[in-house]
Amino acid sequence: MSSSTDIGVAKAGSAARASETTETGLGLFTLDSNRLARMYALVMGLALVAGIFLAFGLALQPVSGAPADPEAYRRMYTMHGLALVFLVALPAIPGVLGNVMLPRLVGEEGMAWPRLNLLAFHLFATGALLFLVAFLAAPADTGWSLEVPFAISSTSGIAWSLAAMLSLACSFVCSGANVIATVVQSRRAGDGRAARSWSELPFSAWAFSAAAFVQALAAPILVVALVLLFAQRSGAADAIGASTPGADLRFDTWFWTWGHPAFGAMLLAALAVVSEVFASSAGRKNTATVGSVSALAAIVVLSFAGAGVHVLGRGASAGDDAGASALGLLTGVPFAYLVTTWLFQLAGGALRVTTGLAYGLVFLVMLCAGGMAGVFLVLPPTAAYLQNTCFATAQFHYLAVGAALVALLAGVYHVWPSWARATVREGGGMLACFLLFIGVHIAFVPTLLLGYLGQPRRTGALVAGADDLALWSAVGSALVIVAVVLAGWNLLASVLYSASDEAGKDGA
Amino acid sequence: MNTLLLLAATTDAASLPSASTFAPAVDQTFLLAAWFAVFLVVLATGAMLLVLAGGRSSAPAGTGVLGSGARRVVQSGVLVSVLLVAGFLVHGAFVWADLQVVPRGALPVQVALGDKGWSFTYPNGYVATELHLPIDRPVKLRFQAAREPYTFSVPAFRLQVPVAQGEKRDAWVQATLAGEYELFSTLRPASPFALATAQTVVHAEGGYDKWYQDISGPPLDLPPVELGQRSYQMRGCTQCHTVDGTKLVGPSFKGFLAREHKLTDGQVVEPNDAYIQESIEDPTAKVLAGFEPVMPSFKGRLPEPEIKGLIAYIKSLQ
Ligand code: HEC
Repeated sequence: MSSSTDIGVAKAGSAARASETTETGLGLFTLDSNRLARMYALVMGLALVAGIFLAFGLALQPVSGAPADPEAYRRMYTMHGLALVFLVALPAIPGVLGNVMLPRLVGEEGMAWPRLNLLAFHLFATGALLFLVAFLAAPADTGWSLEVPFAISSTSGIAWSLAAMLSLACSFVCSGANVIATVVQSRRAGDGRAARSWSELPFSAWAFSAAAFVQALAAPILVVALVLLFAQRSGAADAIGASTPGADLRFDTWFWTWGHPAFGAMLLAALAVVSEVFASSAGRKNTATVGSVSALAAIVVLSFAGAGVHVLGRGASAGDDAGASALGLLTGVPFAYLVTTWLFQLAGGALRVTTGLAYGLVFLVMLCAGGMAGVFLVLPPTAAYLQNTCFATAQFHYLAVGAALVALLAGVYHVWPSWARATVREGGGMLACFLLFIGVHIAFVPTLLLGYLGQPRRTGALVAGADDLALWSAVGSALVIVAVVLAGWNLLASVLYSASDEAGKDGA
Repeated sequence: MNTLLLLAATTDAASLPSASTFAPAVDQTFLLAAWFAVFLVVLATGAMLLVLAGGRSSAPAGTGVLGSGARRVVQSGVLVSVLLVAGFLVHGAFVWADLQVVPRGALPVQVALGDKGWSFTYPNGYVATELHLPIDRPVKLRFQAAREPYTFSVPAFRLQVPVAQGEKRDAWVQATLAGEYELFSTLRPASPFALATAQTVVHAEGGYDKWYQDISGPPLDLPPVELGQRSYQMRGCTQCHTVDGTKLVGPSFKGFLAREHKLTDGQVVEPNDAYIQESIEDPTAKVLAGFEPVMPSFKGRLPEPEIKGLIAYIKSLQ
């Protein structure tokens, strides 16, 4: 079993780099998981920048008094959501960190099926290209969650976006299968190594597998939803029953039967990364215990079983709604168990304080905030009042930004020394982390309060009393952009400057 | 974060009026969950800062296995959170049940959202574009089906009712504070800059009954012809009839007594009081030649003096 500290410890140096000089070019067809991770990071970085600039535009719209163009506004929030959900939130950690961390965690050279891995990337890249075409030629305007019946009648072309989502769903299946195969294979005897028992797998390997399992199992449900909508729009079949009552409810049920576990998988992947960062910072093994693996299992089950919270109070029976509420609330318990355990473990020993650890801790705070905001959305009295409002938007962003951006950065900073072979510049890294922490709250605490005022989401017009809060939210989203750009620059600079340092040395 | 919350709470969010019986219940749940959330987030932030500040301690590396004390804390934490979940749910169930069960004797109002915006139909058939509500009396809202799903949101009441595409639904509300409040739908993908906003008017004590009387019909103590004229305008006769000779769906009343009233069967009737009253209460009994039998019956919908007034008014037209 690999000691988790191997990954994080800086091994920067010209010797290590020299052995890698053969690795040039983009690596579009590489079977090396490290280089594939770099490709994922490149595509994702672009989608992230595009997505957050769109977010800033959205936040600015109601406070700037820009002319109201309903279709342009709809396209803006739709493409923001599609890019960030499908190209960043869901695939970021498995794509980038799964490829870098997982083989090392289980003591393998790379992923079990490199060709399938490459196929997963190509499907991902195809999805990204299709979104790009959609963005330039025919942006969808249905909201990323495909609001039916509007998505049926919308005159904006959504075919490109549907095709992109389809390609990404296939990518999730391939990469998920690969993660599980890698973990299973690593237990076999071979290369002078004895077979290992399940209990020897580190916790993060369990969490990566759980995430992969959920994401791969859920993806076909998304395909069904996409096909239903496509058939309905093309007139091939009355697949959703557009003219019979409750079409919106029927489609949303399909969509969230995929969506709820998909975001559960996003959180599971974040748990894998952050647990590894914590264990390594504390200089201990990331041991899987009965308790922590049971917590993962509970999250897996609840993410499939809890989808009912997305259609609360919209026509299901009282019993179904009560069950959905209870499952939604219970989801907090395994998370709370893991978080408290980790905090105690961190308190217990000597710590190496790094930027990675700081991002990991910020993730815990955001997970806590997002999880608690979720309580409002499943408790019957507040759930009914807050649905479709900015409260739901803010709650979702606490979790998605926390898991897909903050936990991603925690992991990237953590593996940076061995992945990029450069020394992390902690000062700038910490500053960017602090700015992100502040920016996220300035953006989303007001957004939660806007929800309490009844402000509908996906709306450019403000309800009474919402102006100040909307302004704060725009300020916060500007700060988030600054923080993300700073973090990106901080990482890049560590590579560029260490390279030029060496060039200087060589010349001397 | 905490200061931010307090700052924000003292500005906009705190000024949201609490104007229905649900508002305190929803606010109570909201505050309960909010304090719990703030407590946990502050705790997590505190732990974060402690770890970051005190990181380079010289204590030996932890094993990752929790001591028995820590384990007990985690276990009781899990237990407490499960109990809290149960508590939240039970409390929520009571508030929810209250929302679902429409009290008996609630005043029924039909609510619809169409292309031209909201319409509220009162028991007397009057259709308003603003929602008028009495104070301290339960009102049953009957939501009509529409092609697009919509929600009925009145933040001041802490009430949002989702109405699925093509489906009907009932809800109720009891206003507790007189005033005018914003009403809108949160589901407007086609028009993200227009929330289909309408006003909700909660009348002060006695104000609603007066308003209802006004929309219900003219004051019955007016002189008959004047009473009839007001009634003619208020009861929707103008949709089909005129007094200037223009023919709409129905005949004009201009020169009513002087004109010949020929029926579809060729018979000519005498335009006397009995005929006019019969035309109002049982319009299909005698149908005028050249017209369709589409006039609705007003039988039982108009008080006796009003019918007398209408007869006097129609006869008075030269
Ligand atoms: C939906 C349209 C409609 C409305 C509303 C309506 N009417 Fe009529 N009315 C008609 C039509 C059509 C006729 C002719 C056919 C018939 O006799 O039924 C008619 C006929 C009459 C006549 C007989 C006319 C004649 O020349 O002999 C009277 C009187 C009358 N209406 C009174 C009223 C009064 C009073 C009201 C309002 C309280 C009213 N109507 C509202 C459509 C309407």
